Amino acid sequence: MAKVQTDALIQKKKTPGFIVRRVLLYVVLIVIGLTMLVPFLWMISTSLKEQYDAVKIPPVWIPPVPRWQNYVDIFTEQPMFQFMLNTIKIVFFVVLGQLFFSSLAAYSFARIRFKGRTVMFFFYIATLMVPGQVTMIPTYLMFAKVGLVDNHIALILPAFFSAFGVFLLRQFFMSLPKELEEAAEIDGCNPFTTYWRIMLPLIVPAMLTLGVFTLMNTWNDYMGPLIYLTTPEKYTMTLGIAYFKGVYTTQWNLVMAGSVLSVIPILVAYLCAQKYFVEGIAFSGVKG
Amino acid sequence: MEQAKTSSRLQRRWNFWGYLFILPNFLGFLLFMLVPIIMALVFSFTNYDVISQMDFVGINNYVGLFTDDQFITSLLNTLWFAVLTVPTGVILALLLAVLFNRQIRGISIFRTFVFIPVITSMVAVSLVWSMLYEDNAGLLNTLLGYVGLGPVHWLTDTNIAMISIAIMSVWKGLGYNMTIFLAGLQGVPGELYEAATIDGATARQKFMKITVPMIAPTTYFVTLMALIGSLQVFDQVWIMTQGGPVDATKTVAMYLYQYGFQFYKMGYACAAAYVLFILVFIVSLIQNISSKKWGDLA
Amino acid sequence: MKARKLFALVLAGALMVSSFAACGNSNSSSTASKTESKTESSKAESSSAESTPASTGGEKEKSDAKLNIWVYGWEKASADKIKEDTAAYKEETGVEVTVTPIASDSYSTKIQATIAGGNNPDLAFVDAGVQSTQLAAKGKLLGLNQFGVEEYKDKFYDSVWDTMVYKDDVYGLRITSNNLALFYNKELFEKAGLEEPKDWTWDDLREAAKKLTDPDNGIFGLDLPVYDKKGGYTWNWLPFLWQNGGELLNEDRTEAVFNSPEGVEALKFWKTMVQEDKSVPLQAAPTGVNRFTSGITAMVIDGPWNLNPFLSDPNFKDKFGVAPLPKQKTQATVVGGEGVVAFSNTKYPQEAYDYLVHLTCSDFVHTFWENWITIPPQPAEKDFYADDETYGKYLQVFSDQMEYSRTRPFTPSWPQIEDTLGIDLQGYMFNKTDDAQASLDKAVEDVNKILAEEDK
Repeated sequence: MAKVQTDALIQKKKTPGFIVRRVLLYVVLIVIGLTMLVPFLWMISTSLKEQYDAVKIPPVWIPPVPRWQNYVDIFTEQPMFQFMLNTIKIVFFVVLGQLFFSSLAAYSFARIRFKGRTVMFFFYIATLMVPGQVTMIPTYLMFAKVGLVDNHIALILPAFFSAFGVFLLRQFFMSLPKELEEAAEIDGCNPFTTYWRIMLPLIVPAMLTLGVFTLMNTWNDYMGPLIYLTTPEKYTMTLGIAYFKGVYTTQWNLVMAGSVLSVIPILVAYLCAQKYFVEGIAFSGVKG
Repeated sequence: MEQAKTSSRLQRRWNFWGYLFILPNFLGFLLFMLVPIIMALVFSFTNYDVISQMDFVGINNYVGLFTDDQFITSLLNTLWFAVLTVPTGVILALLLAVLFNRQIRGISIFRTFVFIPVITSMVAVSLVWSMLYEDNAGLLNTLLGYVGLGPVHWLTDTNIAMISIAIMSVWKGLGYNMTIFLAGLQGVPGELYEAATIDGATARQKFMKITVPMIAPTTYFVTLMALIGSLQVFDQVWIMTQGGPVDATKTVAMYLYQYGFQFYKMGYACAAAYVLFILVFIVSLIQNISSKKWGDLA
Repeated sequence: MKARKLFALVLAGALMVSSFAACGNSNSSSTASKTESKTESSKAESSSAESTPASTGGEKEKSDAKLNIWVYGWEKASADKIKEDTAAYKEETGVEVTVTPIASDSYSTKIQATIAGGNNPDLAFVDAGVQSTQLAAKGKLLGLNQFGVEEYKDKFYDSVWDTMVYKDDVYGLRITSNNLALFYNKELFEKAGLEEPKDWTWDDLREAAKKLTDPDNGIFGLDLPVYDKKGGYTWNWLPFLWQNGGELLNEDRTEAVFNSPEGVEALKFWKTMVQEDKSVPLQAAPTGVNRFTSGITAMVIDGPWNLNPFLSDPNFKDKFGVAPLPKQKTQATVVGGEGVVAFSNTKYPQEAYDYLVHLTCSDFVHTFWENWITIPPQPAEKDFYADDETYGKYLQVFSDQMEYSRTRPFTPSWPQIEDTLGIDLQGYMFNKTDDAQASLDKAVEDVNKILAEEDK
């Protein structure tokens, strides 16, 4: 297959039109890319400004003297390092838990024709349509009843179960060819081993996508930690960053320094996931 | 068809494994999603304020909602936002995903660029876009000025403000949907395209005949999630316009947040949430029916 | 009896040993840095810590009460000082106070949730009047009359004291206050050939704004929060209503009365400047006060909290001045700030009250004024900043305004009233209707509807 593709590429390269199109493509890509970057660049530049330059109109794009101290300040003004560790701990468990529990249920919904699955799945989808603002308090009350507020468990446990994750992975399991399972069954696999050894590896791109999204949502969650946590030692990074937002004035430079720091892990995760997207093509190409 | 032929033994086996796989997730789902949602439904018939005892008030909250101009306005604003963002957002994301789903040098950098707005903090995004949208010195109006147009009152005209918010939202969400589409495209076997190429199919034909049907489950997912997300839009309006000017960008999510947490009328807010729920439900049913044309997806 | 005591002692000992062990395990470098910063600040602040008077005074038996207090924001300077003060307070009274900093964004949501779950603290900082009235009406706050709080009434400005009163009981004491004044850009004033504002009336304000406006250079005379709706609209418009002799609600706060001729004039005054003179920019909220420091607007009506950001900007710190708000029929500005409340479910009401008094009425309160750049809520401290080289000349203007500053007419549904009012008045400002009287009539009707629901 790889050979066919290269042949096709060589064939294309011979035409002069191909080169023009390639150049045009890059121009389009660069323009799209740049328009996407502007607020992000502003975020980075603001994280290096003095407080008074942070929100000027028109904006100061390049701080006259970069203030690297901002990145030191966010760690010394408050125990941000501790907050970071707390966030990492929560994110770690949530991502693993959500991927495992979601993929298991998603596989079942997509590939096993058990009784009542349509009704059950219908309920999963329906829960997505109720705004989170009204379920926040009931969930809090449940944890308060069992005395688990001010505890990371209250932030980790409910996040394992995501209708979004189940729905996303189900769609991907559904698009896999049926022959795979039949072959697996002949080889003596039970449904769990089929799921774990054969099917799961095939939806790696989807798992990674869900992983990145979960990482992002958990890392940036503000309301959860805010209402559940009351001991400063247990606070997360989002709460730490929020301290720079005062009642009346906000230290935008420090807020943005904190935001840049919280973007890095998500960015790294996304870049790593990218690599697997390309490998994913080759993999499914061979299998299918 | 197949199901009819299935022996009852096989069905039992399916049931066993199916329930076994679902069970852990379903227990959590029951406890952390279904129970709170049912509690919220109960609250919607009470005068619950979160901090004191509640009394049942029948359907008073629902009656109150439909006699409140502000609620009707937010409902219409929310629908308008969905109309503005869902089709554009999904189609643009799909086109970008197809554009980016090729192995050319530096492609992963470009993909990451498109994903960057998704991870940029909403506050930063709102501040920068507010500057772009400024009436006088804003970049957009300056550019329009060069070609003899404008100025457009992006955020200060009650008729335009929601469109401006929608443009920003599509821009911010593009990378999110694109990523899901990209993941979906990885499941399309390369041989299909090769065979089509040999048969002399054009790029457009390949897109319509291979890509679109093959990733239909993904498209269904992205569209439904975009729809649900747009009908619950909160962050951008909360930070950028606070629902203004006047009430031109006030959404249902903002309305119910205000009632639940600022005005201490959680029961009423829950009723608003359930009206929204019914609305989302109906719209997604329509979407479900229309997508059945592409095959059994849901 | 003896055996039980012995057991308790052993238990306490075991607990202490285990807590020491925990300390030993903890990251040594962070412990070191903590002690370092503590000793540093204790040197600087030893005087204030010593001078903390006990509110009750005399030889009192030491209490073993434990209190939790939530403070918003986390500013290292005040956080350290509070810690020190609580240590001294424990020494003196035996009451152990734990101070927890809570982020100010969505602070009230956290209070709401934790009250529901029974995990609320004993005491908390609140937005005075707004949150305190809401919570008091729901019976969640400790009424302070029973402890004889009236003795402190004379210590505070009436307008400040009133914010914590609901239905004849007092539900907290004020720790800080602030009000609105007129910031102006001296450089732009000079360029326009204007004298710096002194004893201004509305006409002076309008004329100056017109002269300062320079469309070619994108400069506007005055910034008004015409777009702001998170209460900002009402907060800024109220002084104008009062200056013109109007009132928002009647004396009992049961009915809205601002559709008076005075109200119509005050509303029209804003619109004339926005739509006719075009001396006020119509812009979305997030860029707010930054237009002023960027030299896009020449005047802005805002509070003392801006001084730190303004003064820290080397390009701007000498360019601005502060003047009292203009007067029309009378002088008026609006008062805001923080109060401290105790919750009705506290286990130690008396201790909570004593600490509340300690926090707000002892000299320790100066820490908050200094660090938060707010105006003393106590008339005796009117000249608190007078000798301060950096802030003195600006803060004195605000402090002098306290005499005629007024409180918003708080009711339990104040946030809703503010929101509705903002939407209705903006409708007029953004040209949905051109009839000021009709807009105010509609707003009055809407507000009355909210007030009527309160009684249910």
